[in-house]
Amino acid sequence: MHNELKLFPREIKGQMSERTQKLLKIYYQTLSSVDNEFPYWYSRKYFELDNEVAAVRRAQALKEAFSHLTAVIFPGELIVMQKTMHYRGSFAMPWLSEGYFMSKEDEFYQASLKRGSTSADQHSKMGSGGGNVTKSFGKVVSIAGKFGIREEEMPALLELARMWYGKSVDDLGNKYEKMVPGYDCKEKIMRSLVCMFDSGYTLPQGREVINYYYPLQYGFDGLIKIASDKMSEVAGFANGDGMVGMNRLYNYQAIKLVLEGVQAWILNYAKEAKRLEHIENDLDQKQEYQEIYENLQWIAYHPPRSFKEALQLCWTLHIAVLNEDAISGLSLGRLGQVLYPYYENDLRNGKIIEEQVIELLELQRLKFTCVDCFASMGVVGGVLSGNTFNNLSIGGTDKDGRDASNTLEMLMLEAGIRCPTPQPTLSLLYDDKLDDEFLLKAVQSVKTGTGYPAFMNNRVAMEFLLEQYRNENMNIEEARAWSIGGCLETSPCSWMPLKINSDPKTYYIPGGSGQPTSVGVHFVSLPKVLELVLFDGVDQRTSESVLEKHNRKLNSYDELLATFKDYFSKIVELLVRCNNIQHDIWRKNNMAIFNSLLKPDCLSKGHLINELGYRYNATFNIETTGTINLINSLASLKKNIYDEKRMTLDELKWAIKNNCGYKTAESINSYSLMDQVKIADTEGVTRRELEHFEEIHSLLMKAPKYGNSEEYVDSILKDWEDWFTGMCRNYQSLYGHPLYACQISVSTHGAMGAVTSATPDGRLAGTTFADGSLSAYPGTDKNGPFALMNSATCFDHSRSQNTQLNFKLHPMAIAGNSGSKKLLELIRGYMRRGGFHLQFNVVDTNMLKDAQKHPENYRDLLVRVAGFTQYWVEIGKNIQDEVIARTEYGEM
Amino acid sequence: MKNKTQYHYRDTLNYAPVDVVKGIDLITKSLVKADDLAPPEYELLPKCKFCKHFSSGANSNYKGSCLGFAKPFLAYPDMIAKTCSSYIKNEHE
Amino acid sequence: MSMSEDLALIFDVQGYSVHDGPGLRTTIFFSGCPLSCLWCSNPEGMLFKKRIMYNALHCKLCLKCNERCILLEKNCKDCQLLSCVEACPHQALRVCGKHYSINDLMRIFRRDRPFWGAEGGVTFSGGEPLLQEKFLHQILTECNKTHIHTAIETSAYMENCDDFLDIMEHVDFAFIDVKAMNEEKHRKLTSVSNKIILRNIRDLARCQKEKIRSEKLVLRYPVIPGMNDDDQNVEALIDFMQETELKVINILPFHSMGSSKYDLLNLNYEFKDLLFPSIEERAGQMANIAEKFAAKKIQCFIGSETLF
Repeated sequence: MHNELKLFPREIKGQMSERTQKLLKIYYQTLSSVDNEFPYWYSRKYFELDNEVAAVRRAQALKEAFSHLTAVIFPGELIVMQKTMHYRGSFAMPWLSEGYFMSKEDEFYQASLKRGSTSADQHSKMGSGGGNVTKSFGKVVSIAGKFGIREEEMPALLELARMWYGKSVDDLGNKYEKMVPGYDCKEKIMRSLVCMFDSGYTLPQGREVINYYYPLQYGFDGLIKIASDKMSEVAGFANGDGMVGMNRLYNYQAIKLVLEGVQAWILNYAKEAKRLEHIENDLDQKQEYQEIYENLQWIAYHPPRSFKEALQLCWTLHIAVLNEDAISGLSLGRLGQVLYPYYENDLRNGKIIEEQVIELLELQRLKFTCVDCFASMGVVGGVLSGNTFNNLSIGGTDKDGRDASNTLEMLMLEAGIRCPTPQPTLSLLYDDKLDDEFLLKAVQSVKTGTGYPAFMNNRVAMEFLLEQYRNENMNIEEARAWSIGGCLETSPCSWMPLKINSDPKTYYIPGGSGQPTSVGVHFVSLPKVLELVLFDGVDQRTSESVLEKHNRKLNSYDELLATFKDYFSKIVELLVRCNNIQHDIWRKNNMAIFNSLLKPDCLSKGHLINELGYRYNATFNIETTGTINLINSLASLKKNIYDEKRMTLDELKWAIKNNCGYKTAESINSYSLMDQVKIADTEGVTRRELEHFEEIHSLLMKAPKYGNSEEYVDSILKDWEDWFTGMCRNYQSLYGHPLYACQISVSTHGAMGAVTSATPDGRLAGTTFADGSLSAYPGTDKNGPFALMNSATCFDHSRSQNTQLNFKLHPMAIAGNSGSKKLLELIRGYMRRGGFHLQFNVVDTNMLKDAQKHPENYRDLLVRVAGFTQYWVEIGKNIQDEVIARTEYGEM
Repeated sequence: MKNKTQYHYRDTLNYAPVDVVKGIDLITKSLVKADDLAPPEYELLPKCKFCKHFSSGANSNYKGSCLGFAKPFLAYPDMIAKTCSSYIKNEHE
Repeated sequence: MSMSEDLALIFDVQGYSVHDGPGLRTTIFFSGCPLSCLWCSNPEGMLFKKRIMYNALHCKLCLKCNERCILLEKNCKDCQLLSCVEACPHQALRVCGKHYSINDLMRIFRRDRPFWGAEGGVTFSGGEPLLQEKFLHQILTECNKTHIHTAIETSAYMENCDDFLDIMEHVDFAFIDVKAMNEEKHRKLTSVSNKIILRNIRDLARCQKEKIRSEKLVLRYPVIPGMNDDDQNVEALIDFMQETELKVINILPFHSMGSSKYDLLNLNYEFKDLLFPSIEERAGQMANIAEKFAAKKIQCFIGSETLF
């Protein structure tokens, strides 16, 4: 979602601390680095324990890995520990998948290419800037397109990977998914990029909210004792459950082992801090190491007593969960509400002051920004754009339905303003009950141009949750606890009763209690499915027949739509079955143990994620991309072919085959609509043909487009939403619960657009789809933002886990206090109409300058001034210069 | 333990690896290159290549075996052994 | 002058206008204006007719427009059929100006209303909304009936003062431009006299005084370098405000955002080759002018700072 850092000097209040600046400077120079420590010790132990009970075997391997990680502390840090020894470190997990980081010549890689599990990689490009190691150099080998590993470690990694060949979730899962009838078709679906990726072995967890409660409440020793006691309590008892009742003994044993492993990891860091304290000469730094040592030494065993200890513990828990599995989108939830009791206590007792807290929060931001996720390039580059989506939610309502925002959250906003970094991103759970001061602070943050916070609708989310989780007894009180998982996934959470120090009060803090979401069926490209419909199942890029011919003439709009739904349903059903198997293999051998123990009700029930130990398991969903291009295309087909008969279907298909007379995006190396170039009539096409293409293309472009509050198109959107959100519930996850709709694009609109032909809405081959799910296609929303919002809210957003709408605003439109209030009004208006999500890109001078150099990235940038609106790219350079200068001055 | 030999920074104890090519010298606090030589008195970082139990591979500079636990397993010279309970420094160093 | 009571010629409808009144607003831009300000940022609204905008960058010289044209003498100037525009496959031609009925506008307002917030509403601008007075009167009445907050951006150039006041009766908020106090200068800059403008403002101010707070009327002074930014003009303006007991003014720094539209309309933009004073100089100038107003106890807002 976010690009690399940009600094926006104008509306920032205050600067980040010097300490943060120094550490941030290191980040800017850091390369994404991979090493073998974790996979080495994990594999070594795992293979030693052949035949052990699965959960225990995994737990032993995890414990071995955690307790062997080399502790590294960087001078100046106050919050310490990271996933590996490196500043931005990660590692491979060959027990999940090993194909993608092999060299291209390697047989494993070739095999995974064939089954389409790496096809996304070929179409995803990492930005070559920042910390990405896109090419090997010196002693560093580039793997998975973005990560650097020492050549000294590479052969061992490959050897480790080979040990897992045939045993990884990827391989084993594949063996069994081949048993699904029509499996060949699934491979074709993946290869053609009708679907973007599988999650069972790439990112089996994530898009969920973590729960920090249990270690905060009991401490590690407390939890180990609970596990031990429970072991004695349940040993030998089935408790009425003949299937998995007995597993509780092994599960508690597993829990105990992993706790010991993480505890050992923390103690290694404590030891390192002590060692550094000894050899340090600078008195201040010495003191800092000492404090770090004391914090770690304490939280390795006991519940935290102070804000600093709690913050450190929460960070440690977060990276422990991140290390346990391949996981992207492990969100912090409402950390500000979790830590508030500690903060408030410390403040009251004079143990801490606000400025210290802000600095700690800045440092925490930096820590999260350094989090890398080692997954395949297609996943990391194509889907995630390198982001790891550690989302921090603020606001919402509390257990009793009141405004839950607090002063610590205000400080988190302040830290986000002073230290603009991609992580953690901020999500404001908007409710009419929220305090104006809080909301306006959030608007201030939006104005700095970082894009956070995004705004999500509290009530709409609650409605969705109550419906989806009703079979698991979700009630209103529980529904209020929700937060955003991943970037935009409404996730079920619960209230946990926290007590701290000797404070008699019980604080109800929210935390995640649900399984990963956005697992199930990933990113089905709707425009690509439409292409298959038009061409009887044949992928126009590869000429491969992906789906069985439908053999229909498509003589009416209804027939067309019915065929689309058929194809879509077939694709979904096949993907559900295959993904269910992959996830099933995952849960048999690679179940989460640490993450499980953190979430209710695993610890009390004695069952982990794989045995429905979580409170909410109905989390699997079906994701789509390119919704708006589909809708616009359907509108164009309806108007041009069926209603007004301005062209025949064959003519349209012929135009699409020829990219409406344009060269391919690939051949000109640009995927932006602005750059597309027409074929000259010397290149094998006649003048007559070119003219015909032009005519057709013009009609396609002129057909009604979404975002203008036009019934013709909006009704198509509404019908689609009603049908899609309804049909999801016909499919079941491996956990026996119905699926639901998820509508966000992350970055798939780029990668999937790249392999899709021209579409009937006038979009050209290879170019990017409209982003999000409800953003208008660039340049087509001509009736202003209110009309766009009206179109966007033409259907019930609560039937889907999410919807996504990105807005670009010029800073002049929201300048000053009145500008802030107006932006808030706009947000309110959209939320009141039932819109679920809004995100703002505020474009300022830096961006305008960039837009001058790279107008292809700013096709849809509107410069709004009193009097009229103009597309930036249509303003001549000299005026652009003037505008840039004006923007700096701040007045129009 | 003082050594007259000079090691690369990445083989020394008081080096915090920022990434695969550079890190921080924890004594001077400066940013240094992983493959540069550290001052002579810098302490050695336990690594498999310095360990008694490490047996180098026949065909590869970068792979070998670890005989330090009950069951032998893959090992590689550059692996850090700071947290390894079986690490014993090879006196030939 | 107006087409008929039932339809108005409007060249733009903008949502999320933040500088055209309190709250969030939808702004309606009426075609046609009695003035011809040299710096006008909405040249497409100057004339009371549909205009074509031609974008040379998109044009591929296919001449399909020419083929479709049904005029016998190909004299574009007065053509209102504009059949060439539809024919262009490259979106090089665009029409500015469309007819809307009262119902059309009310439909738009109903669509936008949920997003205006408590203080927002509709602003009538242009061009000059007063030019289509009958329609304007009707739409204002409709807005009043449905409790929609109304604002207007106007030059106050209207012959019949009673008619002017009648219209303003229905307006909740008004921005009125005063381009220059000196009659001759005003003609030079806008091609019309400022006599009736000033008279209308005086009368309006007097009516206001008898009824409500003065924030209902805000004067606007677009500061055009080298044209109306001299000390005499400022002083004359201050005197005028003191005389009429108006307390609020909004001074607008000059901008040339509309200049690209001149090319699209094939018009000449006076300021095309002018060198403007730097940002700092302009900021300084605004501040100086603001000080002068402040010294006489007149509230002065610069640019986008508004009293909202």
